Amino acid sequence: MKGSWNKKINEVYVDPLPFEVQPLPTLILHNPVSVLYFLYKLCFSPAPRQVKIAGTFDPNDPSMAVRVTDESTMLRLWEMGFFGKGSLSRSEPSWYGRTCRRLGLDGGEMSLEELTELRRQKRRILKRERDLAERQELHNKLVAEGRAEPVNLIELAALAEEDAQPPIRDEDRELVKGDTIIKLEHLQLMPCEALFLQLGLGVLDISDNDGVMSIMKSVESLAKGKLLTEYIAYHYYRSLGWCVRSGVKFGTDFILYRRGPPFQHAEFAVMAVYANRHEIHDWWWSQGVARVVGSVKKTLAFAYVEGPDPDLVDYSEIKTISDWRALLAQYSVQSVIYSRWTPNRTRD
Amino acid sequence: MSDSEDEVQDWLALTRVQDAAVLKRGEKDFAPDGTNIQQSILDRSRNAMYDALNHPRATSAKNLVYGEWDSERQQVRVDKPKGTHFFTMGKAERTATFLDPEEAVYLAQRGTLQVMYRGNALSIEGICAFCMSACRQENMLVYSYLKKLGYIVRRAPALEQCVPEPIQHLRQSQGFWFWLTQPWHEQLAWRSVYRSYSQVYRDLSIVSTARQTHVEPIAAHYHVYKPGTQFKKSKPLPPDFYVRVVDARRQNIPTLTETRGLFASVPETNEAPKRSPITRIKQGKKQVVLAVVDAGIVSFVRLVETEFERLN
Repeated sequence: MKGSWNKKINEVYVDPLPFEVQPLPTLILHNPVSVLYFLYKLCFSPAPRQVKIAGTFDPNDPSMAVRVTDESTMLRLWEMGFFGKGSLSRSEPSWYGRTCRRLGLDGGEMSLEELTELRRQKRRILKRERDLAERQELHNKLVAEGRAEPVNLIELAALAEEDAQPPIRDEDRELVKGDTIIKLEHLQLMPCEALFLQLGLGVLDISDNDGVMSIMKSVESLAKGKLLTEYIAYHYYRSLGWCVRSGVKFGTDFILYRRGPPFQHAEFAVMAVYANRHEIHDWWWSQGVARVVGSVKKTLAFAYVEGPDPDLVDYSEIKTISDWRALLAQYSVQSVIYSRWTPNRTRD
Repeated sequence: MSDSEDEVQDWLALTRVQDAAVLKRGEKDFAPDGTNIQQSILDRSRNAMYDALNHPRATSAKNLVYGEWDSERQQVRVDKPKGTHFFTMGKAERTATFLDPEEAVYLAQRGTLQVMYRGNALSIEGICAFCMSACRQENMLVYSYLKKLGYIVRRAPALEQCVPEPIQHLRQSQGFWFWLTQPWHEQLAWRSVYRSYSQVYRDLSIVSTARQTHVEPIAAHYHVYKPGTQFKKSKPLPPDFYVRVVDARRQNIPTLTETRGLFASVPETNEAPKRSPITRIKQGKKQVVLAVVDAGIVSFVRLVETEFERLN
């Protein structure tokens, strides 16, 4: 089971970015055919067509999310680099498949959140059984001391077992149109992700009410002030090959995966801090973050961003990609790990 | 290295346990369950504790060490040091051994040292009163906390004059071709053909990695050695931990400049680099420990200077 699962995810999630690359053939020096083929490929390979993704941005939407509604590109963004979050799912946009399966239609394989639910169900049963066993043991002790009547609690509990909920609800009728289920879900990209896809890889076009947004407009809408500090950290770790996702569940700006959510848990939780203006944080703040991050077995790192004050940057001057590049180039990041030391555990 | 105290319950372990002998987290030992057996066990251990506490505390006169408070040096002078404590404590000079205030308080509190002042024996309160003028209370607390756990704790020597390092920004200079052809680009990954993802990542690496810059070093207060260390006062090896004591209410978490100052005062870790990139990042280059003290409660924080390396 484990082996086939690994094989499957390795096949699905091959590419770390939604970006086409064209690897060169292997070069065998003593084989003239190989050399010629290599040279041919080197000189004459046509540029791969990048798949353009369309996103929409609503400046009045406080979530700041860029929406992607096309189903195939939603999937593409998830499978190639784990960008975005399904609006009706935990992360991967899996609502459609889950709903089909719930209604007894063919929806393909189980999603990650269904697997989680299955695991939690098993755990609940295990906990209930353990609790019963403990109560029974205690009761037996009291019986032995002559302070209670013998009762078999486990048998009693089995009698009271309730029935499972029916899987189909009344509202489900509204989901069916003709003989298909309507697709309700869209993908939400956080500002960092949208900007990285648009200006970094050039695979995303963001439109607002006035049409496709210019570089300046995107930067002003998605990277101003505190967002720039976040973006710098996001861009930095992405460009080092890490899969970066929001860390809001753990009280941090980002979490870093080596490859992505299906492969293993995130190793690091990152807090982006602008270093040059002294942001005052007391120990209660940092200890709180570190404690939460530690309890989910991640390592907390502060990403200190150094460079021009993001509040003072003239964003209207960023008109071309070179301006954007020049701005990014003025920043650097220093990572510092922050963790609890428990001296009674390092005595050796 | 995730500290195991924060470990999440391994539920799988439960399936390996056959009988009902399963542990439940979050419940204290001896939460009353109403049985007589439990009550009698509880009574027995409680009485044992009272017996132990009833015992008068005493040190045999043979082992007691005498010292004299030296107001000029703000230290305790011990003419005849004896016992194993002096292997790792105090500073031996030609005529006598001198104890720092936190060392004297620690030894006096455990009944090993009697401090005198002008011929009079000082009470514990008296010793503390003298020492608190020479050592912060938080430092004394952290010192004795670590000593009681068995660590060897020494005051860090004064910093030697450090030569501040110049700013280092590790930037890849791949901007030339970008600039030359820039009017046609709309994105940072500008080449028409990329041969691999690492090539894409290289072109995107525009935000640089910062390293140690020109900073004033901030010294650690204590050098801390693990309990089993073969320690020699005359020739101390590099310590296992560098600890600086912080008052939680008067000092905020260090700024980047202060953090760099802390790192500037300690050498690079000499552990062998680990094979996995994750453990290598967690191991880092340098580390310091901050002992954060709030009204007598100590929490230790480890800061590690590290660098995220490029994966693939």
